[in-house]
Amino acid sequence: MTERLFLSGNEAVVYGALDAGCRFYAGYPITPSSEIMHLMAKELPRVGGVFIQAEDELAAINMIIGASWAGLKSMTATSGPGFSLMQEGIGYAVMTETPLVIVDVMRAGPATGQATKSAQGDLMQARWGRHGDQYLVVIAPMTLQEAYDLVIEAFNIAEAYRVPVVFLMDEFIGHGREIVVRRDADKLVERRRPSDHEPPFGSKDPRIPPPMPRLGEGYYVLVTGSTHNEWGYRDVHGFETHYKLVTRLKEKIWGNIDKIFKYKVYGDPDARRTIVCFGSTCRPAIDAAKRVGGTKVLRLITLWPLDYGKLAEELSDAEKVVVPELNLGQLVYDVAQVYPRNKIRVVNKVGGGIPIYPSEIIKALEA
Amino acid sequence: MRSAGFLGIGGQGIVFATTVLGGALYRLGYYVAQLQNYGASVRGGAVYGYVVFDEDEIVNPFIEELEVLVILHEQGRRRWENIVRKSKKIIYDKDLVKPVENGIPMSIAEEADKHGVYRALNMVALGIASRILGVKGIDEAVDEVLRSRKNYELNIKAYEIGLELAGRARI
Repeated sequence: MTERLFLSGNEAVVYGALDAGCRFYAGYPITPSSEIMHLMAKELPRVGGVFIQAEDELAAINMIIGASWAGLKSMTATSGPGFSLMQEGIGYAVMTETPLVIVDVMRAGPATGQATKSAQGDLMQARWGRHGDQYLVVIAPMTLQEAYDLVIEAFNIAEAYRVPVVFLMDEFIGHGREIVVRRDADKLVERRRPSDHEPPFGSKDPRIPPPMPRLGEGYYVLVTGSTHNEWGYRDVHGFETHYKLVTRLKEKIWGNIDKIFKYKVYGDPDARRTIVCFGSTCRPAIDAAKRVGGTKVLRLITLWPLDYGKLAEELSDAEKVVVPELNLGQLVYDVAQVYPRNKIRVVNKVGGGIPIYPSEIIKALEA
Repeated sequence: MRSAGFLGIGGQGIVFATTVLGGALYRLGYYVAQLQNYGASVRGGAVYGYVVFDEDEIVNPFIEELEVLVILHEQGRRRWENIVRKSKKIIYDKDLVKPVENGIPMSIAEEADKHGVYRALNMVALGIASRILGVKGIDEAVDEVLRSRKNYELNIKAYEIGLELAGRARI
């Protein structure tokens, strides 16, 4: 199957999810993500899936957790204010090792901010929005084709590592329209089911995600957000159970960083000037690099976990680094961990739905 | 890479005009990227929509200079002055927009009203942009897109008025 379509990014993400095998969606509408919900409502019943308009975002996130435990690949979509409301549920999903995809179509915040205007201000929230030590995966598409392609990857990661994956889009990607090719996926990952006497919340090697039983198939399983041992039994007193659990949950993601973390280099790979970016902002960055030459663009696809060693390696020869982002400076903190802050030029802009233009990045490159 | 866009106010159908243009160029086999900027209100507030297209994949759709820009309201012009300043062929409504330096004034709203298609003012603007772009096969492609949507008769009539207006102005 290959189909060339003219879609909005919100539509592309729906078709990507369906082609990844998503069969359950619960959500609450919010600009600029609502079209995801509209199309899911239309398309999911056609493939035997279930669509529910929840009463709010708290219900939505908990419904998809339940559906995932019932064995379905599940997803929700929202934007900043709704994403904030979902944080508790996402933390619960991390703790219970529930595969989910949460799409956040970023708009200008904080609070209700500017509902129809694009931004990239939820980067830190996507990584650290929950309480406690918790690790999940964050992926950001750059083009609308990638909204389709990478959401399939997001489902694969969620299934492979039993982890919620935040799919970080922005209004430009969600509401923009572009040519998107829908095609058969190269690879679809399904969560591993437990064999007899295989614990659902533990493994000898913490890098190996435990298998996940499906409710209703006769496998007795306790699912709790409280600290639990490998069989799911609560232990809310002891040091060892808690420490073992949270370090394993971390290691399950960071110990597989070589497989999860992805980035791509554009422009001149040997150049000493480097732009570091994520999401739609990379497009004017690549354009700027092309116009002036002698510039490398380091585009992060995976935003969390972030391989700081790789980032340091890529920036080891850099004489100047430019970090453009549609916020007041978040990605710049990552770059500053491996590169002197006084040699980083930032291009920050947010509000009004005005993108960063190539001319602004060129100015920073040449400053 | 070529481009065309519309500036106006909420309720005029700027986003729809942009979507029809994008859809038509997609049908012609181009790589197309469409972006729009609007507010939360159904009526009012500046609205901006544009399309970039090319025979090759589009690297960056975030541009400041459009090849063709049709302005239907002063609010849109004020809000996106950077785009107006840098764009090449600018057509603006002579009654709804204050004079634009290097722009071409046209009686877009007046003509639409005269022909009973004021409701489809956006399609008149689309006709103007189409004519100036002069892409081979664009009129047939626009017709196809409009046939798949509501109010075909009204929209296509308004589109043709736009084509004629731009033809007469010889831009």
